[in-house]
Formats: sequence, C-alpha cells, structure tokens
Amino acid sequence: MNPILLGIAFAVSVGTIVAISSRDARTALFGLAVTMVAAPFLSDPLPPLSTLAMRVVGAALAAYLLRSAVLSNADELDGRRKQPGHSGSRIGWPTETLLAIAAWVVGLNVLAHLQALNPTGPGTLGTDLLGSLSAGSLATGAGLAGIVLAIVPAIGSRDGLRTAVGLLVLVQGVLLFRAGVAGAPSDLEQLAGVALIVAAAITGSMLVGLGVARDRVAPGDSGAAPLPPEAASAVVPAMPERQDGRSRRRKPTGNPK
Amino acid sequence: MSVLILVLIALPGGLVTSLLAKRRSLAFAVGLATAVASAVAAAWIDAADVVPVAGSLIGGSDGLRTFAVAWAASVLLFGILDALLDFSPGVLGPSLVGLAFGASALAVQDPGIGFALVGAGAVLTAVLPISMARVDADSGPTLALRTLRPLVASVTLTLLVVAWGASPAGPFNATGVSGDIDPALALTMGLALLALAAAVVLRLGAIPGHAWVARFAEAMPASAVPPLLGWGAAAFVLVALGWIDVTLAPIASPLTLERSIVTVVAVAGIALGGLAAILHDDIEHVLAYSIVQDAGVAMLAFATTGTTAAAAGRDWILAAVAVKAGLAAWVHVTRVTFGTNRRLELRGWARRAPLLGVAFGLVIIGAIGMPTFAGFEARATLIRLALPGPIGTLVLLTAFAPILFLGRLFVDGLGAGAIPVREATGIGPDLDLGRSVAWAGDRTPRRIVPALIRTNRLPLAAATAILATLVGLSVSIGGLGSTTLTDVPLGGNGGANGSSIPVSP
Repeated sequence: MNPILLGIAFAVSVGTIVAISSRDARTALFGLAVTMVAAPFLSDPLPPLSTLAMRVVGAALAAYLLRSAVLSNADELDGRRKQPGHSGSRIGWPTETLLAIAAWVVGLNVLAHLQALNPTGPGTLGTDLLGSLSAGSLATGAGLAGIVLAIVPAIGSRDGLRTAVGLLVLVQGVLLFRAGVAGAPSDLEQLAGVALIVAAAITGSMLVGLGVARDRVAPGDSGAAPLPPEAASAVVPAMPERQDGRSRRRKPTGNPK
Repeated sequence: MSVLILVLIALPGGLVTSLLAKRRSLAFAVGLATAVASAVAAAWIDAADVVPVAGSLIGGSDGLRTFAVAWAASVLLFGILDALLDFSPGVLGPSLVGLAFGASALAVQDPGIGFALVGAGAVLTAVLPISMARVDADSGPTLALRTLRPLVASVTLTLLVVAWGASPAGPFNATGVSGDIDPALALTMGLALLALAAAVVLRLGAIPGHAWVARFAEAMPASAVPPLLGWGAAAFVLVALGWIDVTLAPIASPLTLERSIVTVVAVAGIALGGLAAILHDDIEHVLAYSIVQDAGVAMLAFATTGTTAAAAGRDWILAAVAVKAGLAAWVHVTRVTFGTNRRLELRGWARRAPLLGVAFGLVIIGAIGMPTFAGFEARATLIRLALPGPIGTLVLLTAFAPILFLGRLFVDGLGAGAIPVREATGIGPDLDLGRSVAWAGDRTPRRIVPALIRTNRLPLAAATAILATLVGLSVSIGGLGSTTLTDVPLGGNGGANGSSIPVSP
C-alpha cells in the first residue's frame, strides 16, 4: 500500500465531501478544486507528464470557470448576500461522509472481486481488504464515493451552482471509477475526459448565470432568502446602457441595511 | 488527419462564434464561414486516412464522411435561417462545437472515448443555446436543468457500462474460446445491455424518457432541435451500436429477456410517439413527438443482434435525423412567417407560401419513404428482425403515422386561409429595386444586395428550408452506405485497449 496514493485518495474524497456538502460557494469550490486537481495523481504508474499536466490544467480550468461565474454573478447580487452561497447538502456533511465511507467499502470490495476474476491477475480473492489496497482499488473507492455523493446534486438539484458542482464531481468520479476497474486509460481517453470536464464546467458556469438571471426576475425562487425591498430595488433594474452601447458594470454595493 | 482538420476548424470556430454571440453580425460571419469550411473539410474526409493520436488511432470512413457532410450542411443551413429570421447566433456556435465533438467521437475506435466526446458535445449543445437564445429569464434555468439531467444520466450510464465492458468481469475477459460465457456473467451482460438501452432512451428522448424533448422543442427555436436531438443523438447511437457490435453481439448468450424489454420500450415509443404527434396541435410538438417515434424505431437496433440489424440501425438513425432536420427547418420558417404554431391557425399556409409547401412535401417523402430508400428499408428491416410475424406488420403500419400527422398538416395547408395566414406579409419574393433602393439609400451593390436580402428574407428562408429538406431526402435515399460499414469501426473496438472477443466459428 502506497501511503502517498492513500493520501491522494483521502484528499480526493474529502474534497468531494466539502464540495457537495458546503453551503458556502467559495468553500464548495475549494473542495471541488482539490478533488479535480488531485484525482489525476491517483494512478500507479503516473501517466506521462504531458497527459498529467493536461489533466491538471483541465481540472484547474474547470474550477476557475465555475469560480469566475460565481464571483461575477455574486457582484451582481451583492446587495442580496454578503457571500455567494447555494443550497448545499440537505442531509449535512456527517451523513455525506458516512455515505462516502460506505461507497469506499463497496468500491474496494468490487475491485477485489474483479481482480479475482482477472485471468492475468492474482486469481484469488484476498481476505485482507486493507492489505490489497492498490492504485486501482483506491481509484475505484474514490470514484464510487464521488458518484454516490454527486448523483443527487447533479441530477436532482434545482440550484445552478449545486448542479454544476455535482456534475463536475460526478464526471470526475466516473472517470476515476473507470480507471479503477478497467485499468489505466489511454492518453486519448484521458484527453476526452478532460474535454468532458471542461464542457461540464462551461455548462455549469452557464447554469450559475441562468440562475442569477432568474433571481433577478423572481427573487426568492431559488431557495435562498428573499431580498429586502430596498435591496431588491438595487438589484432588479437592468444594467443601464452607456452612450457607446457597452454595458456598465455595477460595483458591489454591499448588503444594504 | 482529415477528421482532425474538420475538428480543428469546427471547434475553435464554434467557440469563437459563441463568445461573439452578443455581436450578432460578427458572430454570424464567423459562424457561417466556419460552417462552410467545416462542410468542405467533411467532404474531404478520407476513409484510408488513419493517424495515431495520443496512443490511439483516429481515422475517417465513408460512413463518417456522409454523416459529417450532412451534419455540417445542416449546421450551415440553420445558421443561414437564424440569420435571415433575426434569431441570435446562440445556436450556431454550439452546433459547430457539437459537430466537432461528434465527428471526433465517431473517428476514434474506443467507445469510452466516443461516449465522453459525444457527452461533452451534448451538454454544450443543450445548455449554451438556452443561455444565449431567446429564452426568458424565468424559464431558462428550469429548462436548462431539465434538459441537462437526462444527458448527464445517459453519459454516466454509458461510461459506467464501458468501464464494466473493459473490466475483468466484462466480455473481453470473461468469455471462453468459443464465445460462451459463464451463466452468472450472462446476467451482468443483460444488465449492461439494459443500462445502455436506458442511456439511449434518455439521450434520444424515446418513451418513457421523452418529457424533456417536448419541453426543449416548445421553448427553444426550432434551429436548436437538430444539433441536440438530431445529429448529436445520432452520433451517440452510432457509438452505442459500435460498442454493442463488438462487445455483446459476438456473445453466445441470446439475452432474450433483456432484448424483449428493449423491444417493448421501442414499440411503445413507435406507437405512443406517433399518437402524441397526431394528437398535438402545434407544430413544435409535432416535430418533438415525431422525433420520439423515430427514437422508438432506433431502439429496435438494440433489441436484435447481428450486423444486419446494426447496419439498419445506422442507416435509420441517419435518415431519420436528416429528415427531421428538414422538418425542423420548415417549422422554424413557418412559425416566423405566419407568427403562429397552431395547426388550425395555419390553414392555407401551403397555398400562401408555395416554397414552404415544396419543403414540406419533400419532408413527407423523406419521412414516409419509398421501398428503394435506405431509410425505408432500414425501418422495415429493424421491425422485421425484432418483431417477426403479424405483430411486426402492425408495428410497421404504426411506424407510418407520419402519413397522418404530416399529411394532415399538408391538407390543412391547401385549404382556405386562416386569419394569421391571410394577414402574413413579406412571403412572396419582392424584386422591386425601387423599394430596396429607397430602403438602402443608394444603388451601390454594397447597399442594395443587403437591402434585397432584407426585403426577401422570408422567401430566402423558405428556399433555405427546401435545401435542408433536400439534404434530408438525399440522406434518406442513400443512407450511411451500410454495405461499406462492416469493416469500419464507427464506434469502436469495445474499449479494451486493443483486445478482442473470441468469436464463435
């Protein structure tokens, strides 16, 4: 058992739990970034440096895209909230953690049984689960935990940011699970995975923007606290057009008292 | 390399078009130029041109060339329609991005890569147009989320199925020398088939996963329908058929129960999709439910085994998508021309706008087909293979529901004109130079040509719709060239990194 790989898998899963359960957008995005950037290293042997760099850059780009969408839209809604937030997990981080642990146990067992089926593998089912930890089993466990935690926010949430975070964690989880059960993917498959992650991030940032547009029209419809009347009057009017036709960017005004 | 050239043209061009969406003229200029270049690059795809990229092979094929040319032509024609009909370029950019992802997905041999790429294209062609086109701010997020959910679910399911296929429990490692498998693992293979079929149902919008298709079609401009529900979905089906071909098809286990379930779902889609298209009064829903019915027929390709069924499935999905792209073009122009989408308010449309009548006539010919058409033969083959006997004949008759719901629209179009049709203006060509000169201000070609286009935008749009339906009809006649596809991957080798299944002698 490689302790570095174990630490990376731990970081991936902790990042997943933080991303899925946090109600603060910045904290959730931090957890997401940790998950996305650490996941490519959960492999033994590591992929070629160019592939690894591509995956890390893709993950960082995805997290950055979402962060930009959240922060730019937070500027527009600054009269409403001091900090950008989203609905977060309804069952709380302790329950999410327990779910992740359960998924980990299932993932490790799945891979142990798969390894027993593999004609080129050891051919026996190990009795010591912890002793049989490998990069594949760690990737399977972390991937399955990501899938289990992210499936509800990705498919069932009505909040744009939560859906976006769930979507990215879900995609990353599926890619990890695939690498765990089916072996290291080819370089082109990793490139396709990066394309999927970046596409999911672009989609997520669009969802965040659409959610803010709806909030402007119908305050309180997104599950967040409704605007006080004076704050609503500061936010609802459309951006005034300048004489040269360009939109004037509104400066953050703070939460009006 | 030829496929890569197409991807390298369409992907950046589509992204730039999307980024420039607020500068309408510039975005359309970039997008249409990219679409023209993409069509040319697609026509240059060489079947013998295979290049190694990042440890895998990317290659063209005759089928991919046909598919990519039709797709690129459709993107170009819908871009022209959007420009003529004063829509935003919010659909054109994502359509080009979808083309790039779809072509690259069909050019690789590993379906794991293919599914990831078509998934990336799907989420982009779904949500980007919603955020950029004319969807009101209140319904936009709901529509985006409802559209995204089935797409995410289908991508997740397919990637998990491919992972299972390449795992030690998958058919590549679990089959015996003769292709026989452990009975315990046959169950897993059946589950994999059902999971893949569920993913196809969600992605295509077949019944029972059809609700999002109707919502999307009614809320979005008709030009947004073909990239997501047409060409992108077809690419997904082609990759899925490629995976089935090499993963499940060679297995000795018949998977009778699982294939029966898929058949029931497919028949439900054919019957209920056609019925819904007949019952609905507005042309967007007719378009949506006719796509749902086509998806039901496509599902039959997953209910049967063998290369004949796979080839028929490929031919059918391409023909259906191309014809429905033509129908979407007609819906797009008709809605703008007459300002209504209700059948009863569209009475007399064909007499008032003969060009649209020609376009619709071509759609009807393509949708119903004739015995020599590839689409017609593919539909009959799929139904015959999946449902032999009188039930198959009944289902085949049900599959001809377009005669009713399209024929009814056409008959209405020949009747006395309803008020919106009578009051519609600008339908006929206006070649009065005096009016155009007055509008343009002078007689220089630089001013007068745009003025002429402006004053004739509806007839030009109708002519463009005719071109779109001609593309559909020609594809419906010729198909994908299934006889040449038996040696062409179009979906891959099962994702086992080069391993292959031992096939029964």
